[in-house]
Amino acid sequence: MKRNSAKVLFVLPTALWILVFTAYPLGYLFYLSFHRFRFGRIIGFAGFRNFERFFTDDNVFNSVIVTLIIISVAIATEVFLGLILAWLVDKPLRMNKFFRVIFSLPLFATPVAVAFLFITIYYEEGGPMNSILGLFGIPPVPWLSNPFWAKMSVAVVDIWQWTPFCFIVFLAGFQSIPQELYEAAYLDTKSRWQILKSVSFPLILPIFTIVLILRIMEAIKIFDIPAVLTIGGPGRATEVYSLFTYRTGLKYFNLGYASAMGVVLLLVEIPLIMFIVKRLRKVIS
Amino acid sequence: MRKFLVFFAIVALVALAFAAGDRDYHGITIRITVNQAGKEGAISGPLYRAAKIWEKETGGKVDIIEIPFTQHYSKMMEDLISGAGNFDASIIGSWWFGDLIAGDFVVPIDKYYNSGKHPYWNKDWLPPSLQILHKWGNTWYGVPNDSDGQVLYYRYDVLTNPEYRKKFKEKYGYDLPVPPKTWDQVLDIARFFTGWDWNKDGEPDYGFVMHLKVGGQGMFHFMSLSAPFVINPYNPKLYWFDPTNMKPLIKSPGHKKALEFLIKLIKTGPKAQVSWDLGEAWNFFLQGKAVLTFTWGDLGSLAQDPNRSKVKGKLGVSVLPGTLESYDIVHERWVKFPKDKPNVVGNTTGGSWHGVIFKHSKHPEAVYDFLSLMATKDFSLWNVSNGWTGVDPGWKIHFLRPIGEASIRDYMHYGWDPGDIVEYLAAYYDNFYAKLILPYLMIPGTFEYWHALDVHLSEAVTGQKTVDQALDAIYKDWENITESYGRKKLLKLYRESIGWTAADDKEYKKYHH
Repeated sequence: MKRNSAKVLFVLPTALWILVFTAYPLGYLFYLSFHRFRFGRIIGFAGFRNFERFFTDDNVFNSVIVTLIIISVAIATEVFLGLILAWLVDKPLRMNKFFRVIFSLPLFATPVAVAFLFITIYYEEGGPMNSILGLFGIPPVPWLSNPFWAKMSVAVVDIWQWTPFCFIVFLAGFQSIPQELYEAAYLDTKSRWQILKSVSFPLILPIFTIVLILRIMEAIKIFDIPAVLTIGGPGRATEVYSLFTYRTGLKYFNLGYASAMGVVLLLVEIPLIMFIVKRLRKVIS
Repeated sequence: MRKFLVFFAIVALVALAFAAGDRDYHGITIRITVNQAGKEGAISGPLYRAAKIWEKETGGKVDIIEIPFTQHYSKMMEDLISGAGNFDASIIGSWWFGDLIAGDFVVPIDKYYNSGKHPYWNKDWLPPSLQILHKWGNTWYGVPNDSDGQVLYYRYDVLTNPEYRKKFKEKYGYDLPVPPKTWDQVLDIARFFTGWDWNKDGEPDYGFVMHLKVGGQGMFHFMSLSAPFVINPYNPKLYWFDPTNMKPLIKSPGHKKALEFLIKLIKTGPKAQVSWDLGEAWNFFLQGKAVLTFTWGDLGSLAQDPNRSKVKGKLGVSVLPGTLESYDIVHERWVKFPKDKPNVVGNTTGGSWHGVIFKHSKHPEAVYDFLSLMATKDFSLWNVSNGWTGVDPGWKIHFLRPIGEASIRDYMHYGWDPGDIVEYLAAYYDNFYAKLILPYLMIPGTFEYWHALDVHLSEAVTGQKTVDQALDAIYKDWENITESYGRKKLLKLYRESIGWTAADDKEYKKYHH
């Protein structure tokens, strides 16, 4: 009996933590998603109305598409650039350490501050970016006022910030490849491209998968950069899913509808995360 | 130095007024939220100044909590909804009013106002168009501070340039009107001055400038501009919703024509303006790169600052232009107006930022006392005349004699150009006392309704949606918002807020089945 009490005592803090900070909010999320929350309080049972609205709301569809476009462009570029930079720096070059530090720096900046910085950089009437382009005879780019370029602008900031992450992980991956393998490869070919394709890349593939998965998991939550840089505009051109949910819940206080959005996201994410975790285990093993 | 002396004179005057009273707020701290702009910034700056005086005279303490504009409403509502009670009061935008009243979060101020114990201000100083923004029915909840409304600013020196006038007449076949009386004239002028170097700085310039960034209050431009397309003597009240069923009126022919017009007008400005907030658009005008703009009173005071403005002494200001044709929603018809008497509609577009006291405040009387200090004649006149404080004129005490109580010297004292101030105050008087005023939406959810308007307008002006698609999207979003609140409840509040009566119903139902 005493032994059991001790067990309970040790498990209790964790159980309480989970109940208070995970189970209760999750339960309340489901509860709210079936209710109408207005005037700062629950005003009635909504049944499936919040979910009905979700699946017929053009704004939801728009935010999903916008999120997919921005994160596809950003992740593809980040992974590609990170890989190339890591490969270039993984050589006995002069100032190698300097480049490693420089390439890693953006990762340590806070996204909100970066987004504010880029508002200035993207300024269309004589801002730094357009002035530099002007030196090469390139006409001004409507970075924030054109729906297409606004999406690209958000993606560029994300790329600027997250390429270093890919770079660091890929660099670690390249450095973990035994030197003897390269030496053996040099006996067969002098082509650096051949060595990259046939030796480095296959060996780094597990790392590549991990980087890709981690970036997808992180990027899908993209919020702070569009929230500050474009506030979702012009129109809804950069209104990503999390920004739309945030607005609905914490700007308009339609917590019933926002909870329904959260529930749907959860139901989509659970199988996705299970797949990712399964894949990760496979890659690691 | 002179400014400081005058400021301290005001401090002394207010101190005297206090000395006569019996207010002692020692040991009391009041916490007030305001848009983040710093100790010298718009709206927040005057709060810091008032706090200094109030603390000295009453022994109380004012804790000013600055919150960025884009988060202010949410932070305030979070606090109220959660019952945390961290704030005693907020300096709110009038479009937050509906949520505060419906949520029963604010207290009426009539009891304190009538007590005569607090710094003196008078409700009757405000024109009826502004009074409405501070009360619900006949009960006052807000302590006045700022007066927002949009007027037309133009470059008087450029529009009266004989060479330009001659060329304009050759091109458009009529004399360049100063000021323009209709939106069509504005469009002609804006088009005429777009794409060539009329200010002789070596770069092509523009006819018009606006701020249209999502979240940057761009939707206010549409409201003010569309007012004479929808509001007219036959329909003075209906702009937002059908008062019988709460269906949005946004797809009316008048709204449609106004949006089509806005899109034409935007083409006479810099492309980047669709991603600009107020400051950027104001700077563009102040740097002399656009001939026309329409915005709030802030621009008039900013224009007087030689460090920021190249247009001091060159300003023309007038009430917003009218239209020669307006859609009458009540009778479902277009109404025509004579050329010399266009349909002009005033507006109180904007926030008219003012203080409200929260129900959970433990010191409502102290809060009222502080807020009423900012509404006193001396303090308010100082705010509107002394550079850019974000507090704009609109009350009787701000206007020039004989219609008001101020003098040109009151303003010249703080560096105003005499020509500019006469134009500026006359325009604001015409605006706030116009026979027709754009109805202000004050129901719960206004923040959300206006955000939907904001984003879909932005989609229309950036070519992502056609005019019809944008208006459809607004309509759909507004219907969803109405449903989520409960149509019946909102309908009742909406009818109350626009003063819709059973007699109005009778007339309306003759044409709407």
